[in-house]
Amino acid sequence: MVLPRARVYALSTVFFALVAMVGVAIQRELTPRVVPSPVAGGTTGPEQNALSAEEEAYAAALWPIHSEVVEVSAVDLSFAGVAYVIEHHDAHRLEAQVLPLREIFRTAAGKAQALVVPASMRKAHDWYLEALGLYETASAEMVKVAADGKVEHLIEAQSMSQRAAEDLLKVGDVLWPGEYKPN
Amino acid sequence: MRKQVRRIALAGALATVGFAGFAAMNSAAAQEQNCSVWLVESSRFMKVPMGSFMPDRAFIPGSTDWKHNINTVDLPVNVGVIKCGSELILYDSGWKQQEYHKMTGTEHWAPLPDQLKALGFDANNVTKIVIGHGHWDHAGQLSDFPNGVIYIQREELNAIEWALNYPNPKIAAVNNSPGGCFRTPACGYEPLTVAEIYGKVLNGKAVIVNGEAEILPGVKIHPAFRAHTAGSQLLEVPTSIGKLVFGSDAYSSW
Repeated sequence: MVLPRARVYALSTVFFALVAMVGVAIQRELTPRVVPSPVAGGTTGPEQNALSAEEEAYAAALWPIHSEVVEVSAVDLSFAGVAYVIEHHDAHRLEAQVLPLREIFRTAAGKAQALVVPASMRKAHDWYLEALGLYETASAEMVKVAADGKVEHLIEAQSMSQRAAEDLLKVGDVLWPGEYKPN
Repeated sequence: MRKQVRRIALAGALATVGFAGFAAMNSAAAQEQNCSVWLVESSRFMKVPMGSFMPDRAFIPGSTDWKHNINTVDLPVNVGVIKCGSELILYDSGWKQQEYHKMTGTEHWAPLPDQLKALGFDANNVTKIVIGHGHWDHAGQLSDFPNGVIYIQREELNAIEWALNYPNPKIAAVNNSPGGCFRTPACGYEPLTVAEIYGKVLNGKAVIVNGEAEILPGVKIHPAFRAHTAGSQLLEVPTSIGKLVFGSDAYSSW
């Protein structure tokens, strides 16, 4: 029996379209997908022990140096670099901003060194002094841009500032656990 | 008969080509228009005093008033993970300071690169990081994504500069008051966070945005100035279920 031509065309079109659909579906099913697996819970390390009276006194004495001087100056230092790169590109203006900060860090280090430090806080104290030393050195490095215009000084200084900030965190972890509240 | 077979074969070939072309067009169009999105609860601040989160709802022991009968709340900190073609984008980048957890005796945090790994992504493949705002708990861990270009509003940087230069020490860019900086927009820009932002700027991995910006076709930054912070920004992302808008703290109490 010979089918009418139109019906042949219609049937064969439908048939091959169905075959193509099956092919696409198989191909999609075989394509690997990323399946998220449950995230493991984080841990926060050892429990915080209460500070002794001596340690509290040390933490309280260092806090004003840290919160009113060092932290603000550290952010000032980084921001001076940001402003130089994205705004004014004026090395002498950068120098004018950074030189006073170097002096601030030096003075803060002197005040911190004068504190009475319990033996148990010696390590934290050394971290803090290391941070202040890094900030002071970073400041000195940044002002070199005024002499030769090389951005490498800023890159080197930023690396030191970041290490110093990480040191501050380590100290804060021990002395001021309430320092960071949700913002 | 032979002619009929030829006609059948020709019709089949045309149908297959037509369908394949239609499928290819649809697939290509879908890839250009839509992104895949994951919302990761990267961490959670536990036992946050309600009054510090919403000052007008401070807890009063024994109170039956709904405004004052909640002692603490748990605040999830979410990160948007967005895949658009070959681009891997983060909205916000979490935080890494652990002191809060130690103070509250809670644990609900993991490094964001590890969380991305659980999704099948490598931190080195993050191409863009849109920072909703520059607070320490939303713009942290930037150094863990060395190839990620950060997007931050100029208005946000202006606000940091304003706070740094404010003549009264009560207003400062950093958390310099144990209880006085809760949710205050002027503070929360900590040394490590600002140092990491600076590092991105210095290494040419920062785009300073002025208001609206389209960072990829259909993926748009919208400013939300003076919402949570002076220079907050939202991120609109096209997906197969419609447009999603990330806003982090711009969607919270204030």
